Amino acid sequence: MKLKQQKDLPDFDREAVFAAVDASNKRFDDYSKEERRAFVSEVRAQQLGVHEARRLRH
Amino acid sequence: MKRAALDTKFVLAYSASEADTAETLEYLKKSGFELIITESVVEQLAELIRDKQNPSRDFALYAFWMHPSWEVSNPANPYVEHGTSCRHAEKIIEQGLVPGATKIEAEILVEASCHQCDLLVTFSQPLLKSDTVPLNLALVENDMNAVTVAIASPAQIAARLPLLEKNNATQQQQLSDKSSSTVQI
Repeated sequence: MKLKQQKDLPDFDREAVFAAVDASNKRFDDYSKEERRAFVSEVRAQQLGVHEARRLRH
Repeated sequence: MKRAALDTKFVLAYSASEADTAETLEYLKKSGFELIITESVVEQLAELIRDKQNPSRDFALYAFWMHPSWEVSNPANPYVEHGTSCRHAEKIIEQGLVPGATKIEAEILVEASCHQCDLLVTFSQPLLKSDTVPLNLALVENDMNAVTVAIASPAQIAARLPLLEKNNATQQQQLSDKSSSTVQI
């Protein structure tokens, strides 16, 4: 059952999505804590994707 | 209050209402768990959002911005903020306690432990296959305020939901029977 707010998300290709996370897991071996915090700051500061997320909700 | 931590793959899958994920959250909420994601999960979601070609991006940005509306919080923890949990995760990997795991997978477990979580819900096969006794001993044998953590897959938790509902229904029935017999007296 799709939840109402998720109707505009693309189909979930579990294999591709999980493989992308596995690749990210490996990249995280090389990131410093500062780099990792910078990713979060960048997304929050620029509100990356927030409008898309809201659009997906409606 | 009981606490459960959710890993990155779980929140991505929940964003898409994948099998077992909604049931898992329903079970955890009905069982009185407070739900959290740790700092490493937030950092990983942010990293995935930065790459517009990444197949996980839409789900990552949805989870990043929407998890508070799922009643999933991202609390602060001094051991996580100071990097102590990161160093401890490296030790766990070095000791071979989670064969095949990457550092961030071990980190999410250590962070969950620092957050006093009773449970980590994960799709990580290295964590799910690990020998939890030595792993939990390693979690508690440090100077951090850490606890042992049960590691479970969404399928394992979702399978408990019908049993919980049956148990709750039985309790309700017993209460109802008791109440009506009291009225008769």
